[in-house]
Parts: sequence; structure tokens; C-alpha cells
Amino acid sequence: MRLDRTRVPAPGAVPAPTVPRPNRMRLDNGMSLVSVRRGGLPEATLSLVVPAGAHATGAGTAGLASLMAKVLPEGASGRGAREMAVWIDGLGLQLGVSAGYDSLVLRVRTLSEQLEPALDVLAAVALEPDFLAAEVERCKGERLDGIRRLRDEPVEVAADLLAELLYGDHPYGRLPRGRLDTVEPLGRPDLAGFHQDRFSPRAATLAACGDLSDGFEDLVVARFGNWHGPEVDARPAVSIQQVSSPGTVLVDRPGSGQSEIRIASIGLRRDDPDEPAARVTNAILGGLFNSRLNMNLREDKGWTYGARSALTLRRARGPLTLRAAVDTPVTLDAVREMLAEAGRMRQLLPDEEEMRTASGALTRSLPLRFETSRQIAGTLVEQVVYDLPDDYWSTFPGRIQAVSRREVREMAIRLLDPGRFVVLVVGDAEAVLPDLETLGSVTLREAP
Amino acid sequence: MTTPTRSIRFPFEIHELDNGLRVILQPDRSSPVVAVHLMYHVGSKNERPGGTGFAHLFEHLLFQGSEHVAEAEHFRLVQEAGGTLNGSTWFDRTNYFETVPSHQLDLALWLEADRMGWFLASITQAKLDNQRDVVKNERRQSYENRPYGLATETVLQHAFPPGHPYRHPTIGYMEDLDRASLDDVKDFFRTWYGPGNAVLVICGDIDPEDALRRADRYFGEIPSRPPPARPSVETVVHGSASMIRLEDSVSVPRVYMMYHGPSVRSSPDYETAALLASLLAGGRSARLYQDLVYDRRLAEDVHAFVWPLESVGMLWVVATARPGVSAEALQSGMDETLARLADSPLREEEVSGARNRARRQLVLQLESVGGRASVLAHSAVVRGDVDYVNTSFDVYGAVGTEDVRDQAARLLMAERRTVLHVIPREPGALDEPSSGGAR
Repeated sequence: MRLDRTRVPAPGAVPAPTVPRPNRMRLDNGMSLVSVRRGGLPEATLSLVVPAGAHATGAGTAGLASLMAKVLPEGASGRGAREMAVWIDGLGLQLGVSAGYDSLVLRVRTLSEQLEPALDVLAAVALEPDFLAAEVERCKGERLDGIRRLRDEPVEVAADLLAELLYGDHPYGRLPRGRLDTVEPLGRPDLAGFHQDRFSPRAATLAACGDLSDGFEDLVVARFGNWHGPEVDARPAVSIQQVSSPGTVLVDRPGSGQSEIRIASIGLRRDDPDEPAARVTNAILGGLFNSRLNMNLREDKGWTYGARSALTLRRARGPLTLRAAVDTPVTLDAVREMLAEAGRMRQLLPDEEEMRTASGALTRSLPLRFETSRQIAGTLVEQVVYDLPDDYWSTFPGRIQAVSRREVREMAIRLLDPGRFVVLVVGDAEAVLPDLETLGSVTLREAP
Repeated sequence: MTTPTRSIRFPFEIHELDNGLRVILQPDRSSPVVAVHLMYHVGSKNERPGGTGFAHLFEHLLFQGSEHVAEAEHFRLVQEAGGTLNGSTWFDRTNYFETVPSHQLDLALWLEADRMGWFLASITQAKLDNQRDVVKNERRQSYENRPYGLATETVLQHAFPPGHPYRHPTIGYMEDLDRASLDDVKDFFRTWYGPGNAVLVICGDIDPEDALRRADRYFGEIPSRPPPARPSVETVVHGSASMIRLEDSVSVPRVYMMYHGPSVRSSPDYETAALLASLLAGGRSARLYQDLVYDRRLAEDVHAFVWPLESVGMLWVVATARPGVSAEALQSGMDETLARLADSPLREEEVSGARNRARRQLVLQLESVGGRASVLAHSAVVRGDVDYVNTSFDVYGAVGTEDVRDQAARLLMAERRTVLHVIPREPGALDEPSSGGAR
């Protein structure tokens, strides 16, 4: 039979769901271990999650968690920085230590033949950092240099200032890396003290996925079983003050060929019951290639390489951000179109096809989320950080599919309030300021 | 030297359809996902003089629909099915790929086949104009308006002689993008996008026999086309030994060194060069990192890597200065470390660490069906050896300390390299960065 190419091929039978059930265990000292064993490739991902994110420090000491993360592998268990580097690199490990807002994660990716030494490295770095004075100072110097250099990058300038404009002095008001004025005063006692306060088996979880040997749990107990530490409040209380909208803010970057545009407001907590509606709303507005922002600014107008929106869900209310880098002469037009798309989300119900695309993209992509050990370990970490139940992902499609067109519009009214929008442009003031002033008052700011 | 606890082998089959399309099937039923990867053996090196950037612009146009796929539907259908997708263009090849839940394999095959077989009738001047604007904005966003963004293209201009196919960047130059016409689009498609100039990889939750049937069902009736003429490429072994300065909106200098090296077709020289790059800067224990970042505090960071190219090879060493350190001082520091390779012998542990890192990187590249499909396609098209997906571990494992030392002695010579200093622009000077040479 000749193939009818005018029809989209019908999908085959839907494959069985793939959300793995983790094994859970608690060590005598209170540390949690969650693991998913998989055959396949001889590799594994090990992630130790501790409640030592930037959220646990104030905005005044922004950068503390992130600097500590940088220093941890630079000297531990009596090994100096060079010795640590030779140890880690010699084993071929990929070790990353990163502090986000809500947690600090030490992640090791290794061939399974090196699983035991990889656990040795992880335990040394997490439990026995030496915070050598010389290494702390060197790392701090590198971090300060890095912060200075990132001022060259319009994307980074936008991210840094946007956080402040949205959140003021809340911990979310600074990027995790901090700023020169908050990193400069940090010293060894701050790092060691923060480590002592926040690193404890009672609040720590090791998430492991991959080709784990039969005795894996024993290997973990042997290295982490003697770890002792205080009770840690994993959930620091934070209230967010809605900063009043500053109108339009412009950072002058003379000679910029493009303007980086951000339009944002404070959104939802990760555990908000309306999270599904927010995800669908974001997917229709700017979360997908075919979303309204990209179809308008890129595929219709050609003003940008891409326009999108991002819904950031954290323990406290994260931002919803519309973003695009656009050709300088169309800066005002682009801001107007982005605001118009936000407005249209509030005024009209989304159409059925948009609902189908958003829902499909969010729910049918689950098999792709659980393919690799890196992804599965990442999902386990996410589950720990946000206290998600074990059936979170298996029930996720049902929650998304239950979102109605009306709920999307209601969510748009809640999330996309023009009275609360921060509009930030990083670009050439000489070229764009007069235009932007037609929107109302424009505040000029230096790059932070 | 450690060896893997178990050998890594990905079983695959390779077939050729009647129209010349090669089909590589790699079954892996551990997750219900499948990757479809179509790689065409054409890239920016096949562009005509004055037509730089065209292969990449063309890639954008292939997402604008085909005879049976409406404009904007390609992305929408794949994303609605829960899949991910993209395309990319580089010097030697252009690829288009989807990863979808495995019951949606036909969707990906139908989309890819339609644009291979039924593209010409759907392309319009309006689509070309729109995507030309998008690509120009891509160039602004990713190159011109990004610190150090014009560095690599500046190095290429000086490292290769006029007319050399690797002399210009894949993104192309603005004035050339402006020149691209609808006739160019049609010619390019007819010349390079025939089934015989492509490899289709299907990797993941498939039964090979069934997948082959489906591939033939969707692609089999696309007529074959004559193979494109491939001009031979001069393998440049001598750089200009030149030193270039480029002013940019940056606060600290960065030094780029590019050495002409082995192409991926020169195995195991290529792998040996990759290990050399790794022990120079592939970790904090690496020589340049230890010397420049830890001990001498000249650099904020340093990187070294090889580009996996078909006809030429490039080994890059790139370091960013700390504030207050000049590009000249940074380069001197880099040169001193590189020179010491000759007189302080490589330690076995440096090489074994680099081998271990390389093997770990290989495994992680192959972890997802999308990554594996990409490696299979690249091995087939650019390397000309599909089985590399399985032999690469052994190739890296067999490189010895002597080999790396010899490679370093042959490769890291001043007359084989091009050096670029990107330096902070003088305050007040706001012209476009000078290119420092004729295009």
C-alpha cells in the first residue's frame, strides 16, 4: 500500500511507564540513601545533597555557600589542593560541587570500576574539608576575578540585576555566586562555620544511580556511617516581600549589537497546588519552540535568535521570566510585543491546540526524563530538595491533563500582572533610551 | 593501567537502501525512547566563496516545513509527542535529530523523510528572509555581542590561506548572509541533500528488522541523486606563526593558541592529541592548570581541546588572564609550561589519568540514545568508521606515554600555530572589533 504522506503517522502502542522506584535506606546516623540500580553502561552518578544552599545565608553574605562549594575539593582529609586534584583526575572522575538557592549538591560521575574510590573522594570532600587558609584565599581571589569578568557578559549582568530588582534583600535577591561586596569580607571562619552548621547526616541524602555493585549500601555505610552532626533545619523560614515594580530599568552597555530584555515577576513555590496550571501557562507563553513569544518575535518578526519564558520553582516563590536578546533597533518594539503577549494570555482563553501541545510536551516527555543515570540521579535530588512524594512523577501527567483553559487564564492573570512586572534591558542606552522612555520612566543602573 | 570491568559493545547493523541512504540501527531496549539522527555530509567547508554561513542558514530553512509538513509544524509535532529535537551545522556535516518516546518513531521518520524528499516545493522567499534575520541575530547573540565571541573566527582567518574551506566560521559573515538567494537554496539542496550523501541512525527501543522496514517505507521512494563533487582539501601543517591582537569589550585579556594537528581520520594520532590536550588542561591536576592557575596565578582559567574534524586538525589552548596580567605575560607563562614538556618527562600517571578521563567521557557521551546516535553518525560520516563507537575505548587505552611525548614534540611547534591576544578595548573606542585581516 502506498504511503499517505499527508497524514501525521499514528503513534504505536504507548510503552510501559518508566519511572523507577528507588530503594531507600536510612543509616544509623540519620543519613538517607536513595538508589536506583541499572544495568547497561558501566558507570554511575553519585549525588550528595545537603541543605547548604544560598537560601540558608542572608543576602548580606551572598556567595558564602557558593564559595564554600568551590573550596571543598581544594584540600580535604589532610591532602592538599594539588594532591586532591591528582587523586580526582587520576581516577578520571567528574566531580562537581554546586550551591544553588535551595541546596548544595556534590556530584560525582564515574566508571563503575572506580565506584569505591569515587565514594572515598566524595566522603573526603564532603566530610573532611580542611579549608586551608591559602586555598580559601586563592579561591576567593578567583571568585572575585570571575565576578568582575562576568560583568562583561550582558546575560550575566541581566541575571544579577534582575534578582535584586525582584527580591531586594531576600536571599533570592542575589545570585548564588554573590557580589564583590558580599564575597570580599568572607574568610576561612565563615566557610568552616557554615560547613559545620549545615553539613549533617540528619539532613543529608546520597542519591545514587547506575551500575551499582551488590554491596553498594555497605560501601556507603563504611564511608559515611561514622559521620555525626547537629540537627539542621532544612527549611529556613523565609517570607518574600513583593518589591514594588521599579518600572523600566536600563543598564547601559555602549556599542551593544543587541539588547538583552527581561520581563519578570515573582511566581510560585515549588509546592504550590497550582503548579500544574503554571507549567501549562508557561509552556503556552514561552516554554516551547512553538510558544507565543518565539513564534511572534523569532518566527514571524525575525528580531531574535529566540524568545522564551522560564518558570522557576523553588522552595520559596521563584520568578517567572520572559527573555529575549533582540537586534538593538527593535528593542522597544520587542518589549511591547512581549508585554502584549503577556496581556493576551490574561485576556483570552488559550486555544485547544495550544493546550494539547503544552500538555503533550509536559507529560509525554517523561520517558526522556528517566533515560540516563545522570537524569535519574537528578530527579532523585529534586525529590529530596523539594520533598516530593515517590509518586510525584507517576501522577504528574494526570495533574497536567486536568488543567483547564480557564485555569490557564486565571494563572496568567495571577502571574503576568503588568503592575508587578520588572522590565530590564541591558543594551546601548544611546540607541534605546529615548524609545524606552515612551513606556514610562526609565531608571538607569550600573552593572552590579 | 586499569581496564573496564566489562567491555562496552553496542551491537549495530548497517544497511543501504536502494537510493543510497545508509541506515545504521542500534537497538537498546533499556528505556522506551528512540533517537533518530540524520547526518548529511555537508557543512560550512562546502560553501562557495562569498557564500559563508549558507550551510547553517540552510539548516534553519529545513525546519520551515516541507510539502506535507506545514510551516512551524515540525517543532510542534515533536514537542507535543514529548520529544526533543534540533539541528546543528559545523565544518564537515549538518545534522538533524529527534529523541522521542519509542512509539513515536514513525513521526520522526516521516518528518525527516519529508524534508529530504519533498522540501523544494515548500520553500519561499519570505521564509528565507525571516530565517536570514534570525541567523543574523544568532550571530549577534552568540558571537558579536559576546565577550571573546569573535576570537575563533579571527584565528581561522589567519591560520588558513585564502580560499581554504576551514578559513571561515560556520555562522558566516553578515554580508554573505545578505547575499543568499532562493536559487542558492534550491541549488544547495539539489547538490548536497540527496539520500546518498546522508546517514540515518536509529538508536534505542527498536527491533532492527522492523526499524529497517520503517526506514525503507518512509525514505525508500526518495530518488537517488548523483554524488556531489568533493574538492580535495589541503591539509595545512604550517600555521602563519603569526600573532594577532583583537580588541573587544572585555575586562581581561585572553590568549588563544591554535596548533594544526591530526584530523579524526588520522587515528591514533587524533586520540593521542586529545590525551595531550587533557593532560595539559583537562583537569585541575593538568600541567597548565597547575602552573598558571595555582602556582603562578597568571590565569583565571585554562582550557585545551581538539576539534574532531574530517580534513584538518586543530588543537586549541585557551587561557584567560587574571586582572592585571597582560596577554604577553600570560603567553610567556603558557609557553614556559609547554616548553617544559620537552625537558620534564611525562609521568605515567599523567597519561593514565588522561586515559581514564577520556574513557569516562566516552561512556558519558554514549549514555543517552541521542548522544550515541550522534557518535554513530559522526563516526560513519566524518570519520568513515562506524565501528569507532566500539573501538574508541581500546584506541585510547592503547596510547602510551611515549606516544604522547612524541605527539607533543611534533605538534607543539611555534611554526604550526596561530596565536591571538584578545585585549580590552581602549576606553572611548567603540567601533566594531577590528578583524585584523582580510576575509
